[in-house]
Amino acid sequence: MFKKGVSGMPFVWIFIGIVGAMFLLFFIKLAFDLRNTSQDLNDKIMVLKVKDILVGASSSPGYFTKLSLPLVDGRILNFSGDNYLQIYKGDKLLGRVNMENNIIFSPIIENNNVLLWVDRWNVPFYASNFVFLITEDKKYNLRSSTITGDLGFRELDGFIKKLKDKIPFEENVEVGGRTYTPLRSGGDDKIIMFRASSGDLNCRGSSSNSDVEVIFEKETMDSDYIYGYVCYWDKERVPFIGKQMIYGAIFTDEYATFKTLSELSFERLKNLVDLYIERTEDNEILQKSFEDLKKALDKDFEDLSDSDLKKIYDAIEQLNHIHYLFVNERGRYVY
Amino acid sequence: MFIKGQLRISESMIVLFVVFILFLFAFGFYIKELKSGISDKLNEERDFSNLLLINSLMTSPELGCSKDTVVEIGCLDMKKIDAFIKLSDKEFYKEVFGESVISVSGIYPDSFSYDREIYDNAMDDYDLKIVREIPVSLYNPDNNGYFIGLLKVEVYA
Repeated sequence: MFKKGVSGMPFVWIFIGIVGAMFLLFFIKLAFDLRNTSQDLNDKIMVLKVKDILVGASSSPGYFTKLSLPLVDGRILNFSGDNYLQIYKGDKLLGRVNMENNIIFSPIIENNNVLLWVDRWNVPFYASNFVFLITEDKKYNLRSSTITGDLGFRELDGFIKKLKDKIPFEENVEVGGRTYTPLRSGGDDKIIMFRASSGDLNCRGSSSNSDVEVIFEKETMDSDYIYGYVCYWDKERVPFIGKQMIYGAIFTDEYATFKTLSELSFERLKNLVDLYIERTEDNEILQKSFEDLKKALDKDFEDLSDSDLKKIYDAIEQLNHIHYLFVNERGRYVY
Repeated sequence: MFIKGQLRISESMIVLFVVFILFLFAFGFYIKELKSGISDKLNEERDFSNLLLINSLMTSPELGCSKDTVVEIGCLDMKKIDAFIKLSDKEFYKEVFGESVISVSGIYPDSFSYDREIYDNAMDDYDLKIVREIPVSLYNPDNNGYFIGLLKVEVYA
């Protein structure tokens, strides 16, 4: 039996044990919280770094490179319908950042090794740089529609081959040939079907065995300002102008993302036209051409009809011609 | 007066308290270092974004010089600058340039007097302001002349 003075000893140790355990738990919890905070911060910085890489590349048209993105441990990158770059791990959103007016056409990126290409969108002046980003394992199959519309099969095939020749992702894009199952039906390759038409720019929709259908105005097929519509499976058609937007449709899997990026490009074009109207105040003829283009563009993106696209195309061609004459006469460029 | 057992409990509490305080100090120091590291990383990121903004400004279709749609690197078109300033609706550019002030001034030759505030969306209440100045070529399409200017970009965060 303990004496009176000694009987306090076990209690002291119990007390020390309890308080010590509380301290230990407190610091362990703090350490875990810190680890999580640090991880969150690293994820956010990773998102910003990916954005920096893409924004940095976007100012160099013609640039083509293989890149290793700083994504780790099964992170997935995509561009949302509101033009935010988002990085996920599984279903958990790790971070998102606004891409502002940077146009990045891309599918969902699931590994670090990507191919990046930048091309300039001129309509007819330089309006934006488009970035195309894909993973090395992605395959794209460009095909002529079995219903070739108002263009012969050979001519349409020739058009698609020319289009393909400008794309530097040689290993990833091929023209027709074999039979594939579309992505939407569980296939491995994205199938893009092309069709030319004179005046009737409607999509075939359910009859088309593809992920995306590109229907363009036949008369504009040799022009840089080719116009038409892109139809994603089971979705409303999205207007386009210029081959760069067709490339955008090829490399963007999500309808909402492609639509947002196209709309953003048109919005920037409208703003630039306003700027050039001010810029050409000392040249009535050129200013008038810019004003005509402004009038042609003065419609909601979603409501652009076949005839509206034709008006925009005509205004662009006219502006290009007037500018050409101006350069020949005065030896100076406005754009 | 304390009896022996009570005294030992008090001693133990004091020891534990001192250890706790020491732990807190160590932890506080660690947190401070961590915060400083985070702040450095964020500042580095902001600084880099600022550089990208300058780069995109100089190659932008809105302000950059171009001939036959080919952009001249490091050059701003003076007529485009004036046209941009005159634009009544700059809402679209708020997302592009964010909370910043962008201005340009002529520095060479001495006789060349030029000062323009291209964009002003300064933040009243800010934690950080990054200011960067970079020499640029200024092109006047009216006389086909080139001058040297200083592009100043202030970004608020």
